[in-house]
Order: sequence, then C-alpha cells, then structure tokens
Amino acid sequence: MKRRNLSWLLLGFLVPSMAWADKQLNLTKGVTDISQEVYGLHMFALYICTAIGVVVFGAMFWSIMFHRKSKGVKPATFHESTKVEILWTVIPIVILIGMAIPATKTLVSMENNDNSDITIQITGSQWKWHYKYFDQDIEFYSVLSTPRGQYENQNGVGEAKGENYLLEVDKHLVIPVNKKIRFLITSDDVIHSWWVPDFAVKQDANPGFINEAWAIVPEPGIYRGQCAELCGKDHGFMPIVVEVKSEEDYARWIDEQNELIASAAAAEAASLNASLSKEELMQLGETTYTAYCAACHQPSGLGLPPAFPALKGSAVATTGSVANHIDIVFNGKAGTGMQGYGKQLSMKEIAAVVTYERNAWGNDTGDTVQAADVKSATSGSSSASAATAVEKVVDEVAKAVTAAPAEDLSKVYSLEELMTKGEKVYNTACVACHQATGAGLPPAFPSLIGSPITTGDVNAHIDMVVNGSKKNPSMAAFGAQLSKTDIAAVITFERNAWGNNTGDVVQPADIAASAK
Amino acid sequence: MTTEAIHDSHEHDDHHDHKMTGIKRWLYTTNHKDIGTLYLWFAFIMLLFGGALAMMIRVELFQPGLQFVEPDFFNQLTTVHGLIMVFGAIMPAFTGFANWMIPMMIGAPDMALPRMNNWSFWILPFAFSILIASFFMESGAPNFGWTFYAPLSTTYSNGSTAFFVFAVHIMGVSSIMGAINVIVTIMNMRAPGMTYMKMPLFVWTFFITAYLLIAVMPVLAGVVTMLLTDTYFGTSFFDAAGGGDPVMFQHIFWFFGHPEVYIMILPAFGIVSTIIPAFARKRLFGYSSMVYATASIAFLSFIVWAHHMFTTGMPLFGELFFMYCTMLIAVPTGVKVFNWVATMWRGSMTFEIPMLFSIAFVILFTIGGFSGLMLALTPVDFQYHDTYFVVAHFHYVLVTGSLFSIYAGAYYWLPKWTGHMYHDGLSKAHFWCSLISVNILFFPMHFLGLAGMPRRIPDYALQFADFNKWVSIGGFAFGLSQLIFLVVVIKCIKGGKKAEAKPWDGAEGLEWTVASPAPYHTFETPPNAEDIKGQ
Repeated sequence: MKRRNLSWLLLGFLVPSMAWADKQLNLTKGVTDISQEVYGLHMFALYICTAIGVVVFGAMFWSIMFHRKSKGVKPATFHESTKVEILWTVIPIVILIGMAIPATKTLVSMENNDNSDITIQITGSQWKWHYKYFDQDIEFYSVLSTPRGQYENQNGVGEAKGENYLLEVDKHLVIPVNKKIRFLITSDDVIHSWWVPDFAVKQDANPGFINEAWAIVPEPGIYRGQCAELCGKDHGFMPIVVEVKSEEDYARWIDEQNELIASAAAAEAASLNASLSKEELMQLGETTYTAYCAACHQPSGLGLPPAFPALKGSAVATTGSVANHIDIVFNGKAGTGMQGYGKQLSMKEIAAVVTYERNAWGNDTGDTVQAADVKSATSGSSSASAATAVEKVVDEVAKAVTAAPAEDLSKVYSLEELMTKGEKVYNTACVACHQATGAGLPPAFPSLIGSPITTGDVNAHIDMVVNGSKKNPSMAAFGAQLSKTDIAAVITFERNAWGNNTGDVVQPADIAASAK
Repeated sequence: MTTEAIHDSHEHDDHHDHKMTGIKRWLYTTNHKDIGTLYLWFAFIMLLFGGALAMMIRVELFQPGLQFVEPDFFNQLTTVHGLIMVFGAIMPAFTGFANWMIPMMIGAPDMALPRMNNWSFWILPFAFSILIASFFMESGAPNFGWTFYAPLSTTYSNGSTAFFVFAVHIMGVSSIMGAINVIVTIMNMRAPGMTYMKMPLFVWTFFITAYLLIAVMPVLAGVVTMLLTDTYFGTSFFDAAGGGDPVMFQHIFWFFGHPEVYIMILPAFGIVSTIIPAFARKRLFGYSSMVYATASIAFLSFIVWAHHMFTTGMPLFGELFFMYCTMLIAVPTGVKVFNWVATMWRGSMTFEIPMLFSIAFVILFTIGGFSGLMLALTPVDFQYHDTYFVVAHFHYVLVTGSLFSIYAGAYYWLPKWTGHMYHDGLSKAHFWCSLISVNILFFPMHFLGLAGMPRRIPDYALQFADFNKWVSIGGFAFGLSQLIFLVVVIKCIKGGKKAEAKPWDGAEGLEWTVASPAPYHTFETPPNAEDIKGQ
C-alpha cells in the first residue's frame, strides 16, 4: 500500500515534465559565451546532485522495502564506524573540489571588465530604467509599454494580453553585436537589479554606488529581462529589453538618435515661444500623466496615501503657487518617492501635466501653464536641492579659506606634498558631491574615476575647478573660494587618486597662469 | 505524585499541583510543560495566519493580471507572510519542543529560570499583535520584504517601519531569554550520569541553536535600530548621500540571517535523529559524528552570509571565499543524511506517522540541500538569485524540512503530552495530503525560477501561467490539509486510545520512563541516568 503510494508520487514528478515539454523547464542557455558556460555549470551541478540523490535515496528505499519489521527482519546492532564516517566526509570534499574548479574559472572571466568597446550607464529608478551612452549624447528612459488595461483586471475585465505581456518597453536598449559592452549600473532611489537571463548578467543597482558587468553578444536579436530586486510597488513592472543590432544597423541607429536629439532640442526651443490652448495642454497633460504619474498618483488623482498623496484637492495642485508645483514636478521632493521629471519630460510636457493636474478631478483652478513658464520657474537649475547643497559647501569652504595666509605662487611642491594637501582639500570642498571614493552620485554629480576631465586635458580640468561647469550648474566655480595652492593640490589629487594615475603634477603657478 | 490525566487543559482540579484555574493558570504559569504548550499553540495559530496570507498571495498569482490585490498590498502580504512564518511559527514551535522535552530528556524537574520562561513567551503575542495591527493602520503593513533591505525600508518605506522595528525587538528579546534558559538548564540541571555525550540529539542540537541565537539576535536588534534611526532620526548608516552604504545593511542583516537559517533547521535535525532510531529499532548511527557535524554547521553558518549577496557587486575574492565556505557546509550536512540512512539500513522498520514525516523530511530536505549546493556556485547564482528557484529552495528546507520535522515530533510526543494516541486514519490523511500537495506547491517553482520568473512580483509574463496555476492549486490543498492536523490534535486532547508510558517499542530516553500523559511535575527527585546507554 505504502509502496504504491510512493511510486505514484514519483510518477507525479515525471508526468508534468512530459506534459509540458514545450514549456521552459530548465535554465536559459542564453547567447553569450559566459551564459553558455553558466548553463554548463548548472547542468554539471544538476547531474552530480541527481547522481548523489539516486545513490542515497536508492539505499534508503532499499532498506524501506526490505528492512521492515513486517518482513520479520531482526535489527542489526552496528551503530558507528570511524572508517565509514571518514569515507563519507572525504568523498563529498573531492566532489566539491571538482565543482569548485570550473565555477572559479567562469567567475574569474565574468568579473573581468577590462578592454570594453562601449560603456553604457544604467540607472534604475522607481520604476524604470535609464540608459546613457558614454561618448555619445544619447540617453533615455525605458518604461513598461504594456497598456494598463491589460494588467489591471480588478474589475473582472481586461484587454487581451499581448505576446510580450509585461516584458515590453517603449525604448529598447540598443547595442551592437560582437562588441564588449560594459554596463555601469547604479540607482537613483532604492536598490534595483538589472537582469538579462540570455547574457547571464544580473547586477544590483545600488544608490550612490556603481557596479560593473559586461556582455559580448554574438547574435542580433531582442533579449528580455526584468528587475530582480524588490524595489517597491511596481517591482514587477519594470522590464528590460535589449536589442542587439549588426554594426551597420547600430551606426544607423546612433545617427537617427542624434537627429532625434537635435529635432527635440529645436522643438523645445520652439515650444518656449509657442502658446498652447488649454484644451491642447489638457490633452497632452492627460497622456503624459497616464504614462508617468498615474502609477503612483493613480488615474483618479487619489494617490495611494500615505506614500503617494492624492493630487485631487491637494494644496500643491490647487491653492499652492504654480511655481512651487512646477518645482516639485521638475526637481522632485527630497526624502520622498517623488522623483524629478526635469530630465525625463520636455518643458512642454511638464507645462501640460501641471496644467492637467491643476484642472482635472474637479481641481478647476483654471490655471494654464506654458513651456516658457516652466523655463522661467526653473531657470538656471537642473536640480534645486543639489544646488542648495553645493552653495552650502561653497559657503563653508569660503569661511575656511578667508583666514588663509597670503600664498607663495612660485613655490614648487613635490607630488607627495600635493597629494596630501589635495586629499585634505578634496575632503572639505569636493567630497559631499563627488564622494570619498571619487565615484560621485551620478547623474547629478559625475564620477571622477577615469573621467574625461580628470584624465584628459589638464587645462580643461583647471578651468572646470576654477570656473565651474557651463553645462551642469551643480558644479560650482571654486576659483574665488580656494587658494591657488589648494586648487593645484586638489587637481593633482584628482588626477592621481582612485587609480587615475595620470602622473600629472599641477603647481600653484599653473593655476595663476591659466587665470590670465 | 499522581499520574492521572492532569495535563488536560480543561481540568483544573488536581490538588497536588497547585495549578491556578482558568486563564490565570496560563498567564502566571512557570511550568515548563504549560509554557511549552503555550508556545506550540501560538506557533500553530501563527502558522495558520501566515498560511492564510500565503493563500492570498496564491490567489493573486493564480492567473496573469492583477485580479484581487494592489501591488503594494501584495508586497505587504509577502513581507508579513515571511516574518510570521520565520519568527512566529517555526522558531516558537521549536522553543515549545525545547520547553516540553529538554527537562524531561535530561531528567530535570523544570527549566532553570521558570519566571523568565513565562515572560519570554508572554511578550510574543504582543510583538505579533503590533506587526499584524499594522495591516489596519493608514500606513499599511511592512511592504519591503522580510529581509527589509534599506533604503526601501527607510527613506522609501510606507511609514510602518517603527512598528516593524518595535515588533522585531520584542521577538528578539523573547528569543534571547529562551536561549539563555535552555543553556542554563542543560549546563546545570542534567540528572546524575547524564553526561554531555549521553544527551539525546535533540538536546544537543537545541543547545547549539541557543548559542547561535545569543550570538545573532543582538545583531538583528542592532540592524533594526540603525534602520529606525536612519528613518526617523536623520542618521545615514545606509544612505550613501551621508557617507553610509546600503550594501552594509545587507552584510549586517545576513550576518544575522544566515545563522538564523540554521536556528530553524538544527532542532529539526535533532527531532529526526530521535525518531528514526525509534522506528528503525536500531541505535542512531554515528552519534558523536552527528554532534560534531552539528557544531561544524553552526560554526560555518557564521562565515557564509554573503552568499545571499553575490549580485551586490562584491570583489572577486569575496565571491570566491563565500562560494567555497558555502560549498563546505554540504560536507557536515551530507554526514547527517548518510548517518540517517545508515541508521535505517538493516533496521527493523515500521512506518507510524512520526516515521513517515521523518522519511519525507530526509528526502525533501535533501532536495532542498541539493538546490542549496547549486545556489552556492557563484556564477550560476547570478542566474538563480532572486528567482522562484530560490523560493523553491528555501521552502523545501523550511516547509518540508523544519515544518515536517515539527509534525514528526508532534506526532511522536502527542501521546506523552495528552495521554492519548492520535486518530490513525486522520493522521494518515494529514500526512499523505500534505506530502502530495506540498510537492505540487513547491516543485514547479524550480521550473518557474529557472525559466526566469523573479520572486516578489504580483503579476508575471504569460509563459509562467501554467506552472503558477499548479503551484496555487498545490498551495490551497496544502493549506487546507493543515486543518486536518488541527482536528487530530483536538481529538487527541479530548480522548482516544489510552497511551502507554512508552507507546513506541523502539523509543529511548528518560521522557518515556514517566507516565502518559506526563505528570504536571516530573523528576522532582532526579532519575538515575547512569544506566542510560551511551548513545
């Protein structure tokens, strides 16, 4: 009776695997050399486990069948054997070593990020991915494109689900075949994890830190993955789609993107002079709201309090000033889940969405906001809170250096002296944004490790520190705050720390010369 | 000393025992048997509650699309399900066994610190009331996963962090007090002749578990406190913008979390090592190697924590170190499995319910061990990590491992606790229904994970639909099967065939030398353990 039950159970394991032969039961083999090595390791481990299982469970079932009281068996009395114990300690160790050797080999090659051809920065945020191509001006967000009607079935109704349900995005990450692509992975808010099974790449995106991974994909095609680390409400709704193109197609794609960027910039400029009707703004606003805001604030505007407040009747969207409303949409709200959309949306879209929020759901303020209003409300700041932080640092530094004695510009320092002094200056003036590790807090505060500024032309570097960035207002001008000796020291430090190792030594005189 | 049915919770008329009546008996009790009973009932109620949350998860995942719950509520379900099952069901159940059985197994009259024993139980209901009450508050329950990774649980949490932290603190205090009590009892109150190497393996495994608890529960308390100050008091332990590191959270958490895994499985090894020899009618093979293997597993559990974190961007050396150490755990664990098989080999076996659960334990726990070994291989872990393959792995070791051993132990000692034999047909139904449904529930999760389904998602791509349907059906069946156990236990308390002092002819140990049900007070004069066989 019991024996029959057991064999029925074993059969139970086999039947489903035969019935679903067309479904994927095993690990994704993938397309890269690494993913195939990983698949090989997986199968190797699985076979070893199966073999051990057959031997151990075999012995157990044998004694269950034959060494039972109902067969009149008298129990044996043996109960220990040092020899046997040593044997079944040593044999597993040998097997484990056999598994560890190939695993180590694969791991070493997985962690070798050298000699990459293309670098792409991947930034996770709740709940989308941002891709930025180094050495190009191309950057974009990639958002789930499955219509909400397909997955929101709470009322018992739903549209038919498409072929790539929950695994499709508006903009694919495009990479060329047979090139070593290095992914620099980080996050804007919580921890995410970027996973594409076909490449065997899964790396956590940690806020404030950068992780590395790489892939060489030999076959053009479309590869899909998902976020693999719980990142809040819509963790299940931020897929990854990578499109691998031939080299020619990739080059064509790059050209297209550059044209698109140029025309978008032109459209943005044009929108500043254009004035849209309230109907046009409401229409565009609703589309934008549904795509970017509705996940948290809900299509009804009621939000999901307390994490995601209601907009319907809220102070921000009704009685509050338009400028404050624009500021929150553009820059986000620190310490909350509200991120800044300044980089994701055009001024026109922001104007439209603010108009929409101030007039939908009975808010009826009657306000209309134009792109030019957004421009004037946010002018000169890509990130208000970041700028405030920088101002604070600059003030503190200014206080610290006012008491500094007059300096001797002709003095020549050794590399060691400059490095020691430079590190001190860096730790007071630069560390808040660029971090002690030099890795920065991208995207607002870029990494200095191997960056074009810290490893490229010395004069450009001096100019950046003395006069600040022309593109990124978060990078303040330190020319008036720091002495020339301090600037020389900190530049030397940045060019030689964290493996930058340019060997460049910058003297106070060089700073004085560049100022002329 | 009377040996009548005095354990019956509905009778309070025994003059010799000075038991209080009604609710006061349970509130004020310092008796290890009463407190053990309280722990076991509490654990079972929590199991049913945590199971109900799991049912809701499986209802939502029955088919693609969001039908019943919002994604945020789904996250609350998975989080509280995990917390309840780990801290509310498995751990208190083992503490219940320890309270009931350790004094009887070593010939002690009670636990060494009986009032602390009372307190360590009675703070638990408060901890879990706080945790569960957060479901009904405006913020909602914790929604950041039972591993509560920062900054999802700090800056980006829904406001439930304070309740969660307070509840965990109370659970930690309770566990530490329980552990201290076990250690003091075992070290000081063994009957004459009960040397360490004669102690039953359950006593040994819980002794080692108690040390693990004392070592890591303060670490948990520390990490939740850092979480609390990060969220409400402006510190930046886990916030890079203030010089902290979110990955440091994971290091501290898993330094607690990995020994915690062994806290939940070592006592299971002890129970199974007690039951298999009893029904194989043959002494446990390799008693001393079992003790050493348990101690080595406990030691290794402190140096493998980062295998939960291979994808966080560790340096190569770190990945290699933690991979090798993790693989090494397979060795002592293998020794245990081989010893159990060798104990059965050429025994004279019968297959009562405790034995059936123990055999199921050995097979299914080993399957969980195999997937654990595969997960240890760092390069492959990059593919398995945070998928349903991991979910399958830890449910095989925790449900068909820990929970099955708890059922085995409960059936084994129910006659001693209640004085009655359990209902034969119903208990068989409980075993077979559980065994079949649990495999329909968890085995297909391996396939889902390998095919690429991430864990903790409320909705999934269409290729995962078929297996999820099976998993849900298995889940409902497994959940309902546990209600059979409730009926078995209630029937067993109320009546049934009278149990002899030693109902299992192959059982060994001091607990079988006292009457069934065990008198309210046992071993007021220490028994002579000199003639107990060296194990």
